[in-house]
Amino acid sequence: MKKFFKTLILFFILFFIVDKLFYFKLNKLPNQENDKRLELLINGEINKDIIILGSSRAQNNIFAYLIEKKTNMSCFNLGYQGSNLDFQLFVLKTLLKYNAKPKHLLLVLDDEKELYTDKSLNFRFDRLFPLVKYNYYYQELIERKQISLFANFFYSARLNKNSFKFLRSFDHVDKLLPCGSASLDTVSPNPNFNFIKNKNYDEKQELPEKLKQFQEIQQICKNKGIKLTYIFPPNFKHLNKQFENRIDKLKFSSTNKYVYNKNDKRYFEKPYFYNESHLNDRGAKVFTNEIAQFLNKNHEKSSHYPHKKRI
Amino acid sequence: MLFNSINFAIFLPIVFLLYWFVAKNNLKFQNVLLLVASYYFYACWDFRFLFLLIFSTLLDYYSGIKIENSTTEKNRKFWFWLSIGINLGFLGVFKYYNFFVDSIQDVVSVFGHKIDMWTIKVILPVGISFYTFHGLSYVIDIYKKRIVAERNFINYAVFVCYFPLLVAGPIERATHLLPQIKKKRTFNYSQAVDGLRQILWGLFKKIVIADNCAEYANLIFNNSDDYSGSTLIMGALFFTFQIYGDFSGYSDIALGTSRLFGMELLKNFNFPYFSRDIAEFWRRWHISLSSWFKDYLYIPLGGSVGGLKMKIRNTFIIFLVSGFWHGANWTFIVWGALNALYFLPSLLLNTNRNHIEIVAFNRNFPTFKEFFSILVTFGLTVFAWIFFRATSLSHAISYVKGIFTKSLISMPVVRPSYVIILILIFVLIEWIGRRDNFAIEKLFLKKNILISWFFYIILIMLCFIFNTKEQVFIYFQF
Repeated sequence: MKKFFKTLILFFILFFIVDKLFYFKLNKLPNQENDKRLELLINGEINKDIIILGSSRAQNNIFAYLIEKKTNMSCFNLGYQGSNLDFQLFVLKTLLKYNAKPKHLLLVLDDEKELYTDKSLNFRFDRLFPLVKYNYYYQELIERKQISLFANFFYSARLNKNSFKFLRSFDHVDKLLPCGSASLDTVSPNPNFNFIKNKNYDEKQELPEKLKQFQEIQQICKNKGIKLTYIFPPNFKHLNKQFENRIDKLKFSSTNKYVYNKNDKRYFEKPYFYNESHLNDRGAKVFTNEIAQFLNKNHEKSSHYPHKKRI
Repeated sequence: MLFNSINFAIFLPIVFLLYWFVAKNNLKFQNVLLLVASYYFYACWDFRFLFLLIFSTLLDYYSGIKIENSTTEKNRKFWFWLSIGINLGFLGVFKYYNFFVDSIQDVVSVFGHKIDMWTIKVILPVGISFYTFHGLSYVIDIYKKRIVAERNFINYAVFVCYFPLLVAGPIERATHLLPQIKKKRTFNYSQAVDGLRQILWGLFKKIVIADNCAEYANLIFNNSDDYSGSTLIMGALFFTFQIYGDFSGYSDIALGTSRLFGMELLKNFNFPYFSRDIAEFWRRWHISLSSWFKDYLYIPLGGSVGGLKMKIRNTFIIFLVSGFWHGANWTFIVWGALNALYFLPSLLLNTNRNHIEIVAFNRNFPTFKEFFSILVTFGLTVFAWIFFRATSLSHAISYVKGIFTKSLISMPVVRPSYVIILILIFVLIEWIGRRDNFAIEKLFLKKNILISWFFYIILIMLCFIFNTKEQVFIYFQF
């Protein structure tokens, strides 16, 4: 038995030493990423007046730098393509934990998808995996059962197969601007999109957990004194009135709402769209100007934080 | 509690330490500890079914003694059939009742009638097929006077509920395991180290191979209508390695764990994908179930002693029952029937025992003929797995139809290079270690110890790195 334990201990020591070599790998991982926003977030480098949250409709449809220019308030885009409410809530919590609270939060809604089950919107674990050198992020991954509890003890247990992709392919969403927004100045791979017909909004399809997250975001903003505004961006279709009504029902009185200018004919023209659900750069500039005007009209202009270091 | 979970990683060392340090020289105490640990292990799934397990254990224990003590044949038969009836009754209710009801309703509806029969919403007690078969073999062996009834309840209960084999086998025999339970056990260094090695290899098979293949097999099978023929073939291949990695991985962990407690379990897999014909495949795949059916079904039915008709009938019965054992779905029955059909030629030509030893036992590489035979057998097995994995017969048929289209000659859409590389490495290691009990039993052991240790470290790290979400073992549903 003694020999057995001696062998085990020796093996464990060797394993421990080899495992520690992965420290260097963990530290290198964030450098391989093009999108460094979550790292800036945890390092407390996003202290802005206005924060934009949402999925790709937030990331691509609103240019934070234009808002800064037009409102004289600092602004940063924390929209993540393909992210769901759960991830957006997580980003908000991280922002508030490590950074000064913003004055305004613009939450860009995804139309019907916002509260439904939708495979295209997920918790973006892939954004967290490169940042496993940070205790906060890997604990989140453990909690969400993406990595095992062993990650608390071993560096190698914090890695996953994606950590070994040495070259990342760049696509349109990787064209990140220093303000966190992403530019869609390329030609759509599928330019033959058509004007979409609205479907009936069905409350039965709403997920209880999404409703809870939706309310939690409002509650956090209310408690922290952050002015929350729900943004309805244009899609290549008419606004779904039933969905808008539903949001009105769920909205706290303290929460604002901004719906794109439905009378603007440009939102019915293809040259302003990348595809049926995203504006291209041209369209995004039009829409961002609208939002800037809205902010100027409805909110005080004074800036809390100077335009600090940006990516 | 899954073998590949953190809970088991805590549970196992605690039981191990108590077993060898607290209960060390006391066999009775060791067995009580194993029983309590096994009941706890089982209760972690669903404590309500623990009562069913205890009831089943008590029934077979008591029936065994009653059969042995009976002075009249009538009494012996009564206790024998009582035990068999109740055991199969539980299995029937929990596993097959709804299947029969649905099937009867379907048949009646074909003739334009409709009957309303009760279906019940039941959760299948995990491991019921396995522990029921333990009990059945025990009672049958006593009835046939092959063994004597065990008088010590603890010993018998450990035989039925021993946690390494409780939920997914191997299906043990009283003649093999009970004597080990009754014998004083002392710690054996090489047995324990071997056990750890086998656990590691089992974890690698499950976490790295099976779970990563599962990701893509599920993707392709769940959306089979959207994929080309070549991608569907990839899906079938991924499932082929998933089920092997999953089940043989489980068996390796079970065998390795048991070795830590000084007990050897029956070998369940013996490199089945290197088989040269289907008969050899079935001697190497889920060995404990195949031999159970052979001993308790095939031979009592007359085996291969009778004429040709009898041989064919018995072969079909054993394969169909084997398919049905896996689950209450026509897909499993067709899977069994397919294997019976594959088996038939070697039975008719009397070549079913041509390949007893592992391929290329004294050589590094197989001959061209052997290689070709392995490929053909593997191909037939992959085809049969489609039926095993499909959710229904119509799904299986549309999957097969989807393969044989023009798109068969195209590049598969789903071809994750890292999974393919892992499978190739896995097959290579299995090939190198095919003469041993498990692939890495002696791998690198003749070299410097550091080389073998680094190899184990790589395996552990691969388990960490390729860890997907904790996935349940496929055979838990059976």
